[in-house]
Amino acid sequence: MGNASVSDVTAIDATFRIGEPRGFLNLRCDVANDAFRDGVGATFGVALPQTPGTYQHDGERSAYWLGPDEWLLAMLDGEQAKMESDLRARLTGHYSVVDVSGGYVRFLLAGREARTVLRQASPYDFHPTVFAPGRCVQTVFAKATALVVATAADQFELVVRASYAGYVRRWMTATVARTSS
Amino acid sequence: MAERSSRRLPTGGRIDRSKTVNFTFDGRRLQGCEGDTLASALLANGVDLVGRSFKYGRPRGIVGHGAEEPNAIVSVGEGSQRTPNLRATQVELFGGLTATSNVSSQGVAKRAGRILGRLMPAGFYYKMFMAPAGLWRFWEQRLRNAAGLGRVPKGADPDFYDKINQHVDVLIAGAGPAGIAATLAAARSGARVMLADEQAELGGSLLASTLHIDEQRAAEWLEQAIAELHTFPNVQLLPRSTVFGYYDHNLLAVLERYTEHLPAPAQGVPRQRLHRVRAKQTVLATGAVERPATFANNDLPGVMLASAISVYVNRYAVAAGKRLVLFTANDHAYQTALDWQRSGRQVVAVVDVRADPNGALPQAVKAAGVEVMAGSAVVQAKGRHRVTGALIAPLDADGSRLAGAPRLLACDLIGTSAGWSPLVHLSSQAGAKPVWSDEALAFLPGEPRQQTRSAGGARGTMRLADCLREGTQAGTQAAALAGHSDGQAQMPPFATDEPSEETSQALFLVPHVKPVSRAPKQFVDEQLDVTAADIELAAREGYRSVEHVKRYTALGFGTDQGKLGNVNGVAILANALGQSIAETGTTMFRPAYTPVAFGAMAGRDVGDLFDPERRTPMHDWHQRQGAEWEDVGRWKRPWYYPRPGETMREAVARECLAARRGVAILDASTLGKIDVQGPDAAMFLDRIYSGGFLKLGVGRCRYGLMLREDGTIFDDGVVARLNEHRYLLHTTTGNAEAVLAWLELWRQTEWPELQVYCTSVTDHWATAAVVGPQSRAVLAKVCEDVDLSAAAFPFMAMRDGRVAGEPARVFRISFSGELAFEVNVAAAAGQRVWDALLAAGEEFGITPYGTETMHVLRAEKGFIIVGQDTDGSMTPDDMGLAWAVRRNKRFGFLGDRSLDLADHQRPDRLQFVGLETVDGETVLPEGTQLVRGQASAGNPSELRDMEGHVTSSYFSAALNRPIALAMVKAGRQRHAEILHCSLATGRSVAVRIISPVFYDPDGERQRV
Repeated sequence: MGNASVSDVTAIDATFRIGEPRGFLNLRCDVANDAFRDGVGATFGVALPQTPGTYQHDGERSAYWLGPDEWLLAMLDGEQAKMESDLRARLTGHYSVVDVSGGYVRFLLAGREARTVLRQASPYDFHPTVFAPGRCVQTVFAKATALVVATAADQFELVVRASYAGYVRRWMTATVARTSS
Repeated sequence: MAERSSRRLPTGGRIDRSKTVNFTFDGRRLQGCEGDTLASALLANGVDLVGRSFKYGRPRGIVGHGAEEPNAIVSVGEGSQRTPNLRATQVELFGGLTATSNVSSQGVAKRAGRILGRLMPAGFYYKMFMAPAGLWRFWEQRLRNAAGLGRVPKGADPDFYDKINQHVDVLIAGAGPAGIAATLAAARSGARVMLADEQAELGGSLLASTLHIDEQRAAEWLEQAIAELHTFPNVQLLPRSTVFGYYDHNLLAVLERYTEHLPAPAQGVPRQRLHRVRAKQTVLATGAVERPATFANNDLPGVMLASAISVYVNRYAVAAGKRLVLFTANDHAYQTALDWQRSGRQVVAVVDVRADPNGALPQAVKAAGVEVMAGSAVVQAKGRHRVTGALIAPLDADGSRLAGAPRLLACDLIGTSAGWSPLVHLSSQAGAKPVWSDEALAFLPGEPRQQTRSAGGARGTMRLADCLREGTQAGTQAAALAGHSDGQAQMPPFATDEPSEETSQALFLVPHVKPVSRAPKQFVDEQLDVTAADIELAAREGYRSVEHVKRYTALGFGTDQGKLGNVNGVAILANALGQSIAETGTTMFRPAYTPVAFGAMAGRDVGDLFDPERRTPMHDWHQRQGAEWEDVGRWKRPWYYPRPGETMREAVARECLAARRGVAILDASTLGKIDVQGPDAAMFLDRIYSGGFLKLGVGRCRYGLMLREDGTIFDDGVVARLNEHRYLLHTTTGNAEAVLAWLELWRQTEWPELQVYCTSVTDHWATAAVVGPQSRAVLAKVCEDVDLSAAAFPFMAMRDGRVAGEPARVFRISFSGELAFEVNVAAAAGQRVWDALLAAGEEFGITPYGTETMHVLRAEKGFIIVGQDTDGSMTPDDMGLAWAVRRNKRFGFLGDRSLDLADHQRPDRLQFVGLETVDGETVLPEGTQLVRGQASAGNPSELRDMEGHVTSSYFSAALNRPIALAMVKAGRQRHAEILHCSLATGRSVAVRIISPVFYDPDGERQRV
């Protein structure tokens, strides 16, 4: 009798590795504040996404939608301090910019069955029709949390709180058959 | 052996006779074929006795062929891999399988059962609980020895399990004709579909069917249908997968078994996988199970469901006996007589309760030369260990009384069919109470409460063509509601060759020559030995609700959840109460449909993945230093760093003295940190904290207390003002999430007018607290751009700068009472900076210290720990912290008004004090109660009246004596008074109440 799912578990065809550090800035502001949105776009070079659960990117810079008034900006490590001061110089009114670079560790997950790994960790729907490149979601990940980003077909980036990184790494190692570093 | 070979049919079935499978049952070595279940192999081997009954120790045999089986409950495997509580009818046979019957066929159960059974009437447990005290304890011990349906393995489970989340448009439960048709229809619409079935092969009743669909044999039709399903990329087919739970919002739990049917599973394969399925729509095609007739001694091995006899013949090529008496109330079961005859066995007679059975199937059976005894019933099975005969008697017109004397027919197998019970478990779990139908003579699914529908046998539809059509309609409709196509079913012809059937008759309790209470036992629930007499007794004793009768008699309480017996039980109760079955109703079903191993629910969340461990950036360093760990929330914190040969007390004393006399260093990264920004940040904090925050200067820090609305202490910590509109809040380690949630609650729901944002930065920072008289000298070596002098960088100030080259925030705050600097750098730089501080401190003997030393140092200063010295009922004044409360703010603060509650003003409230033991030696256990007097016969009240309790207690190396903090009634007014502690050893220790500040009461040391 055909049982396609047996192959899912014998060896999950996916790999993961820890990504190099990134600069991360957490941004809060009223979505109706056009000056803020335009100011961020001009300074950061990537427009803030307005659609829930999506991100915009250009080269090494990405802007992730986290909530109706919250975004995460990712950039090359080392750029964050200058970016924070540039943003503060440009922006006016009520907003919040916080350097959270040290607070996150990135996991890069790839492979034909990478989505199976995600489905084991999170109750979110990661079907390709729902979660295609350009999408991101903050979700439960096993017993931690993660910002899961669809970067390409069968490629994902997980942004995990640094103190949970060891746990997530152990969980991934137990779940994914092969790992690379 | 002769019996064995004669029971296995020479041809037919879906087994592979060329592949012999060796297995062991209760120590006997036996052989079956590939394709067998344990049950079919046992039957083929002539094993009639598969267990003894729970209460009476009666011999029991296999009754059914699926999840309904009440008797053949076995343990499979050995040692730690042994799985109890499996139904032999659902265990696939494999080479080397070892099974044991759970209720031993010899020994304790048999002997004890005969004694116990006679002494255990219905409601036994209720009666024993109500009986004179002590009697239950007597019974409990004996019952635990005698009863039980298996033993739990003692060792850890060597297998692993995993879990997966699934999202589908349509989940179909059950792959019988209705389920297959529904899946085909939904799949063709393009929907994401999952089909789960508990059997190894998809097909359900089609696997044993002798009928044709559209002129193809049922098995061929099935093969084609499954081949088509395999072509859809969006269809998941899950055999060996039981949909066992239906929860709110269309969340279903499916247990898939991967390796249990394999003699040597591959490495790295989970034994089982738990699917958590969120389905937009579901189709419940779980089928129906045949209902047994209730007559005297109906539990004898050799009494089986008629349909099970057919399944064993048609699917497994096993004849479970030689001479069959078939007892029925419907046409359907006549097929079993034809199947049996085709297997070359003798049908002694068909006994039909109906007066004139004349449908197509009865006619075919009569034409085959079989005697049909109309208007009659099997009233009693005869035999000792196996059926040897059936007592048959004519019935009166309505079937409630015997109309003549019984006569004995010799036979070794009795097949019974009193009707069919739709498997309404999942629809019931989904919230729809089953509804009795007089037409179907069954409980049918109630009106759905969720996005679900039933099809086929599960809703009482018994004819194959109707099941296929219903399945198609249900699958089409479900897919359409999930957004795929228009809901118009493309209905294939589904022409079948099944004969038409005449009306069935209700058949529940078969009358006997004797009244129910005197007749041989008429079993309703074989797994828990519940008889018709038990149910009538419950009714006589005043029970009316079916739910109460269930609990009183244990009807349906077994691991089979009464799949066979419940309807008969309800009918017997209805009759005893003189009401209809509809009025009586049935019990609700709860998950799980069949038992589920705890391992599957745990999945991978076992061992070091059971609960996440949060680690600081310097974790590995602590590990290399041999730190002992303390769990604080989910954090791992160094507790103390013992040197070789050092006791904990010695290590902590060494660490404490280093902090008091030289310099020491603590990893404080776990403290909660929240960044607060916005033009209204100052006002926000002024409302959140009890103290005043409007006037805190930039670059300055202040201790803050957060109160709940009732005025009790919620959290505390130091707040720093980073610039005009920006603050950093510190929270206690275990409370960081709760504090952030608290801030967001007030910000979002109560004070949306305040322009302020809060962001957790706990994980961003690594924090090293450099503590002690030499801390300034240490820091000066690695920090060149901050003037560390007392004048330029006073106590309770913060500065930005670079430490060891890394951008840093340095706070002059102290939780030890010593000169101290808390150095914060980005987490990624944490270890580098920690190393640099250690190197700089080497010449001063810098000593790493853990949470225990941190506790001792703060206790010496009388600093509280929220959650240790407070318990959620303490106000600031109770803790001597009135100085941290500002009552006359413009807006007020959370908990402000509640401080005026009369109860908060009581003069005898517990107050925070210090204690010293009079003997100067004893370290009191934390939590110890304080009483006024010493233990003696003369003053019991002094012993009884609690004056307070110890909240913190340590040996202070700096003071060279024990110290303790305590909450004592009106304690601040009672300094110098002596109280007593009773230790667990019985010794009483005298303590003196003193100030909670033991060390440097004027706070000189932290200000230098």
